[in-house]
Amino acid sequence: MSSHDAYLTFTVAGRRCAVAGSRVIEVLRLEEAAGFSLFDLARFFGAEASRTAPRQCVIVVTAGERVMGLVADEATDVISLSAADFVSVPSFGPRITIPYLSALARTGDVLSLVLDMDQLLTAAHIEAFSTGEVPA
Amino acid sequence: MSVQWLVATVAGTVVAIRLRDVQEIIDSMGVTLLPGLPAAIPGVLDWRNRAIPLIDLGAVCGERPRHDRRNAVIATAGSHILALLIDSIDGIHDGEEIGDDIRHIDPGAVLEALA
Repeated sequence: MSSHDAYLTFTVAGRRCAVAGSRVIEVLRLEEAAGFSLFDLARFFGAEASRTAPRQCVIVVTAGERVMGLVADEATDVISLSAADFVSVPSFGPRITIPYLSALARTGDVLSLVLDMDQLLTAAHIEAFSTGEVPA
Repeated sequence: MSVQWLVATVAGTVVAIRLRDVQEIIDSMGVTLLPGLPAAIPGVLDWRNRAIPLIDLGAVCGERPRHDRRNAVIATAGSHILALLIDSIDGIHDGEEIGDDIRHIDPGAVLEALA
């Protein structure tokens, strides 16, 4: 990791999240996302399936060979994070892991969930939480 | 030497934690919810510039899990530090024995049972 890396921050179901800018292709309004496979992050987070929010958007990301659109309530910012901004995910004991979470990051006065795209967008997760393609 | 207990209430259950295991009692601000954990562990608490596991003692006592209880007891469990969500602090109890109607909470055993 270089000393400062860009991250896109966004909100989903009341949670603050961040994804490495190097994984983000573009941010689209929902109606612009025709043809992209969408991933329902709200439902992955255990909330109800995402419903239309006024600033709802699709964050188009890469995970290996895949290109997926993450449905977010709002894209909030592009920020620069350095090593000092990251807070380790604590150990919860030997049987609990949170693979989709690469770290927590201090953004403003809250901790954001820094998502690991490769662990989030696994074939099994896509099978369970994809909402299919937006019709063209 | 006498044993001291922190007595608290959560979801109507009175619980007692050995005072030697208690680091601090705080307002439960700074909760970050993390999906994918057992129901009794809603996420982490931002405490002294680190994220520590947040455990709902109400859920541990068999009640419906909540993440919005007012207070958190910061407790040590071996090498771990935990935030235990409670509703209110009742006081300090002195003595080896705690009443039968008070549930003894061992933070290490709580984490072991959940994780």
